[in-house]
Amino acid sequence: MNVWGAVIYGIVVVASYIYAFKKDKEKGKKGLQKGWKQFLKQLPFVFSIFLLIGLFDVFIPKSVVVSVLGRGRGFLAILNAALVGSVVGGPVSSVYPLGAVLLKKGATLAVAAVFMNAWIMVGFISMPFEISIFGKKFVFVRNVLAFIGAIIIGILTGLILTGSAI
Amino acid sequence: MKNLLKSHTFEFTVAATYGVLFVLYPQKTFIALKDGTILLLRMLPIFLCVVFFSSFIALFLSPKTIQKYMGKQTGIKGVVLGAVLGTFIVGPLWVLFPLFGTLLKKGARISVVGAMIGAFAIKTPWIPYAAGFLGWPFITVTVILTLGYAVVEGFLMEKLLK
Repeated sequence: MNVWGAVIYGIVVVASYIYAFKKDKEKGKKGLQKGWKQFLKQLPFVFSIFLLIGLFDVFIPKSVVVSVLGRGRGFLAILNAALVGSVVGGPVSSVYPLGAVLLKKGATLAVAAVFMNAWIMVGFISMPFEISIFGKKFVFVRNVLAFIGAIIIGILTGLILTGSAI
Repeated sequence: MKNLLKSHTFEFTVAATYGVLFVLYPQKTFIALKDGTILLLRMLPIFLCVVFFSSFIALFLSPKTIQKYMGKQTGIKGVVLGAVLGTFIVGPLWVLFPLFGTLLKKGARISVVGAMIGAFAIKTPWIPYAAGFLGWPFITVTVILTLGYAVVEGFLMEKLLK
């Protein structure tokens, strides 16, 4: 599946650049340059995240994750995941491997989903910047709604895919 | 050197952790290093696709294009279009929030911009990457629910802020 995902995605990317070069050669070139620059820029971070996942996998026993984020913790696990995800934040390239390793270590699907949703949807670190553009009230309402949404979406994902809300 | 250290604090922290753990638990740390490297090699093709697809979208769906699309949209159609466009927007927050801010100033409805920000949580170029870690059923369900919630979020924001 992973291989097919990559193959299909590769075809999509090649097709989009054929379109780009046909439409505007300079723009196509610029896209390739920009993409390569982003690749070099993001690669050290992505590799470090994967190495960190490796450490997590080897050194953190399953029992630790289960005791904090396992089914036995009930709604508290969901709340913890939402709070930690909201506060930490960071590039999306890191959130999916983190979610995957949490799942592997015994977090429930709903909890892992809530964690990832909150990480992506709620922006605690970027809040001052967000306020400077939209004002306090807008940002407060948006982030509260995002926090609630992260929990609702995660619980529904768990219900749909595993039949368990927690 | 100092600048490099500052801009790559995370990378150096991971490297230092590895250094310490290699001394204390050489065998376990080696397994972690091997696993991390294999993960990188496995995800590298998709990661390459992500960066090139993102730069393609950034060129052909520029802030100007988005403004043109969203300028006169209203009603439920505008909100849904805003949400769908939101999933395709790529780039860092400090580029996007000013764009959303400009849209609001130019008279776009809060519901439309709210839905866009909500749907921005779905980063289309990253979907295959996410699926590589979590599987297609997971990411499909998440995308559908997030998109639906983005529309609801847009309307709720407008209600609460007016």
